Amino acid sequence: MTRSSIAGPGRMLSALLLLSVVVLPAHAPAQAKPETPRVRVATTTSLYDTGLWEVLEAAFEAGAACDLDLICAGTGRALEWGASGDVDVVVTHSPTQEAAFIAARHGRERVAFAYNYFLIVGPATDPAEIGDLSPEDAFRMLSEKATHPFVSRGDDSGTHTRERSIWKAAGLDPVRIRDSGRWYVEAGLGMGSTLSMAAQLGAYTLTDNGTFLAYRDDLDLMPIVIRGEALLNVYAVIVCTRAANPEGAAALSAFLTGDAGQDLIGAYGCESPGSRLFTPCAGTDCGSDPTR
Amino acid sequence: MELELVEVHHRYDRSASLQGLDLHVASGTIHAVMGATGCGKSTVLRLAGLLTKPASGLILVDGQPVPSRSRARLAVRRRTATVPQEPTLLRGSIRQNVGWGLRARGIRGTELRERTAQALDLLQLVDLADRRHDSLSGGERKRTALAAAVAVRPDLLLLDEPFSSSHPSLRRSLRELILAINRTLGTTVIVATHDVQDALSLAGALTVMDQGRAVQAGAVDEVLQQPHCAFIAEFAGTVNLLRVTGGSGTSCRVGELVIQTPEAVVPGTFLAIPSGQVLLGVSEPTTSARNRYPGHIVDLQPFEYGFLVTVACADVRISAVVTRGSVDELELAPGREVWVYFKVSAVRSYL
Amino acid sequence: MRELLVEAVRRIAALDPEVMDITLRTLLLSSSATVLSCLLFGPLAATIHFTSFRGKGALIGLVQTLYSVPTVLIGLLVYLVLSRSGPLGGLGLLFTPQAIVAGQALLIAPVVMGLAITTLRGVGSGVSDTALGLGASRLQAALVVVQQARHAWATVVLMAFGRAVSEVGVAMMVGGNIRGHTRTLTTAISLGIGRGDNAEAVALGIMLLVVALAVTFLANVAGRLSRGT
Repeated sequence: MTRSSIAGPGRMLSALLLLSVVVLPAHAPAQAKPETPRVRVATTTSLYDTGLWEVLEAAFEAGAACDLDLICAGTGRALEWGASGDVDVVVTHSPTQEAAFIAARHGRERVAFAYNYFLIVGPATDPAEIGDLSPEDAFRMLSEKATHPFVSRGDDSGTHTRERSIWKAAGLDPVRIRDSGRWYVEAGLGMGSTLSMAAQLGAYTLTDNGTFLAYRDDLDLMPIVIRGEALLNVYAVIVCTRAANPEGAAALSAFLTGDAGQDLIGAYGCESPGSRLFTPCAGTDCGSDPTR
Repeated sequence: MELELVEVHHRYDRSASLQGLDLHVASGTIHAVMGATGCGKSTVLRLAGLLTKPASGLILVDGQPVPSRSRARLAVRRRTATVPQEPTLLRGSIRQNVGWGLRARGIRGTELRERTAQALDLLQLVDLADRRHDSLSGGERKRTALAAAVAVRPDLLLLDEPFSSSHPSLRRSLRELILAINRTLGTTVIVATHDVQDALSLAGALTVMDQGRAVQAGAVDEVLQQPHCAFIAEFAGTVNLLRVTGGSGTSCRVGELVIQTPEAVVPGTFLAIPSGQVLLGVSEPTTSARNRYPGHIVDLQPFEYGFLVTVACADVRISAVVTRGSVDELELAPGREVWVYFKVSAVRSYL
Repeated sequence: MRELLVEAVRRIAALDPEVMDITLRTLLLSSSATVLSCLLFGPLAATIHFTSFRGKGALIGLVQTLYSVPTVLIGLLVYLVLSRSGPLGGLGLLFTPQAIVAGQALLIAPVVMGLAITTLRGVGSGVSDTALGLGASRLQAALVVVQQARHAWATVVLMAFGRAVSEVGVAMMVGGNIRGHTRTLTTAISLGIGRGDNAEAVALGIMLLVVALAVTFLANVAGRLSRGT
């Protein structure tokens, strides 16, 4: 009867993980060519949920000797992954957060490559009567009435950040808004799920144009507020300083801002009536003069 | 193999705990450990078989303390083999079970086959050899376990209630087998039992246990003739235990008496005659009982529903259970001349 | 609702490559995790069972309490360890199938250990007493006990696999739900709802249900076999 020695949990975990590295590559699935380098991209959910990435991924992988690993997350989380080096490239849409990311030297350069617009969407009847207002006035009206539900992403995503900046522009404190009543619903979900929830609740929400167009057929939601400088939505790509595969990351950035990528972005979604989902804008001022 | 337990304290599954037990088993003997259920017999066997280490106290094998290092301890343990009271067989055939201890010792091939076959034969298990472990009766399981123990040819064989769940006819052959193993191979045997007759039928020495202690130890006849505890005394009182001193065949001599027995006995054997089957008369009996002796009453004690009457016939004392009515009718009292008689079939012989 | 179901079944019947790919990957990842966990934690459980030490009862109690450890906590733990800024960040394992396997193996470790100990206890002391009484070494006796349980081991493995295959927290957090790489049935179902592709989510849900039911069915069969009926 010997005394068994129990390894500390940390050691055990490390040993387990190490072992899995040794054991697994032999039969890990879907690693067609193990030597193919992978580029890890953290992409904002609003961009992914439209389906645009599937087109871009196929085109990129055809032209480059790299596999793309696309990982969806809100802008906040995507930038955290970028900062820690867990991903090579981030594709996000929150200028203030991106600026902070660059300032902290997590990435060298933010390159805008496409834009569209945020929309405030809601029930077709517009029960809160905010249709003719600016985004800031519409938000103020919703908070004053406090009777019509508004669904917030609540996940530190680019869309969520934009929502908070509109509250601020309207002279309201986003932190106080959170606690101002049951009309303000924090979903903590991706854009698609948030839209579904808003439709189910008969609520208003802030969404990017692309995701909304991709989903609108399934939803009883209409664009209510579509004009205002506060609604401009610019997508940018940043190669992370701590990238494990900097070459691949740079190649992806070049692809997105290059002709091939820009054409695909511009053409995406145009076959269906309505409007284009994204406007390619690499090398321009990216719609910062919104005269629509 | 000589085994000694010195001042052993141990607690095993709450019920039976040992509290300073001493036990000495001489090499080459059959030693009975006897006591009521729950007195710690099985625990003694576990300790003797080195399946468990005592909480405190010493176990000596051939005068040496049992080593505590597992490898050396295993070597000592492999000189023993244990047959539990309710043996659990291992998954597989009876043949595999019987050969298991040999395989554990790395014995393979012809030797494994031969020794397994031999043990199967000894325990009359040849017909069952290919049956599955879970298709046997309790008695068959017991024999299988005994066969497996015998196959490894231990120096010390530990048997827990060896005759439980066996038919009377089988008891006899098991008993003879155990005696033969002891005699021909010199195997030391420890038998744990709650049955005095079982102890008597096998063992030369006896340790009586009560509540985790040895209350009496010694040669079987000594213990039975001067019992220290009620348990033995009660049994000894109801059975006449006589040592055969001479004679041959079915006619043997005990002191100055000649006693007819149902089977041949040799000197040194014990005869056991239950007191309930001994009859008393005031004149020479006319019954068919072939064992009849004159004597005089030396003692008369109240016993159960009547009296236990002890009669001195020449130099042998024989006791009989007599009803109160008979005591009055025959005017039995110490000093009275009486005849003692019993049938041949009432006599049982033990080693 | 009806069209959704019809469309989902149609995709399964047509062996929709996306659905099949995700299903196969899920099976492969979760069975790898199960094998890994059983190889590592089975022997550990046996060591705990066959040795005596202070606090053994408390340790076993703790293991059984951990059966219900939330999957996202394991996901978070493994994420923090595997992240580039974490202790094993240098291995570059985050967002790989290996990370999912490691995380799931850790997740099901308490189930593997707890059920293994229960199984070994179920064998009863008679078996090891018999073996030891016939001169088995401690190791030989332990192996016999392990061997006696036979079909009960299948139940352990299947229960562990069932927990691994149906969890979403670890797969999502450390796998990242990368299409064609780390997307599993559960993460894909979450995504399917997120993207509004309900037919795919339902199709994947049906596959997951089939897997889960098959596991339960097999576990039942194994249970009956081990009881010897």
